[in-house]
Amino acid sequence: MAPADVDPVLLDPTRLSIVSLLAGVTWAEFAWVRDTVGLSPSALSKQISTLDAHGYLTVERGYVGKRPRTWVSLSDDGRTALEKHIAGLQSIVEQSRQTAKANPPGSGDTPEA
Amino acid sequence: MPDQPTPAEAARALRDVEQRKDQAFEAIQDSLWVRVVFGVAVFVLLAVPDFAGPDAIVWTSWGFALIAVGYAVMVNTRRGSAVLGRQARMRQADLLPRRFPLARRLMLLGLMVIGIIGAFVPHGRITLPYWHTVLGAVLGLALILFTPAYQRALAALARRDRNRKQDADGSR
Repeated sequence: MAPADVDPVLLDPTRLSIVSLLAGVTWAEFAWVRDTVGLSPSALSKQISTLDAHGYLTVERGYVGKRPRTWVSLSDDGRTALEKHIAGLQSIVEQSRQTAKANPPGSGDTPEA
Repeated sequence: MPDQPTPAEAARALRDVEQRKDQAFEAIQDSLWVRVVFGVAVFVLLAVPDFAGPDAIVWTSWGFALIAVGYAVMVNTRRGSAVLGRQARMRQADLLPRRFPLARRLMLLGLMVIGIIGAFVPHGRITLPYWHTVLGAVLGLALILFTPAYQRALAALARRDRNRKQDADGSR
């Protein structure tokens, strides 16, 4: 069975959640991502730094009045990586379905590893 | 962590991706004060002719147009959106239903035309006093009270449309 094209960075469920959430928005405030994904500010900061280092996110800092704000958005590379990763995951699920169909329970055949 | 997730892990990850993408639709909610500003603006726009004569509508229309343009500009910028209480901006490609039925478009267009005619064309036979004011109060209150429900309905429509498209593509 050929290995599926999954992204090692997005294998982490938290990072996948963040990238999937940002895939639906043009930009989002740090606080919204934090509350929606349910992470602490430091945990989210760490994950954003990792994704930023891989070029998956763009981070912009600024002020609204006197309050500092951070906006994050998914880069083109990040969107492409997410699409490839989703395709890889779908291929794993599909291969598993086909294996199960080819070797139905009780058929006596041992499924491939 | 292994290089390849198991089929169960992959299926769980795919479900999580869909759930997170759906959560993005919750980002389109305006603050209460924004709805109040628009509700009051609609009320003033419609009520002014009852008190200051029909000529005053020129100025109130300009005022309303300025508010609408200001809102459109703010909602398209990060800082403006933050002031409006929007913490994220939906991707327009996901927000606009691709297959919004023609009948619904025509119905909406018809309602808008009736509204415009009702608000701006003088009705000599109608003798109801202060009917512009009453109409303004009803529309303004409806805007303040029902905008969140309307936005949720639009988001649900866009979400359903996106899911239907993904089902058709076989990507879900």
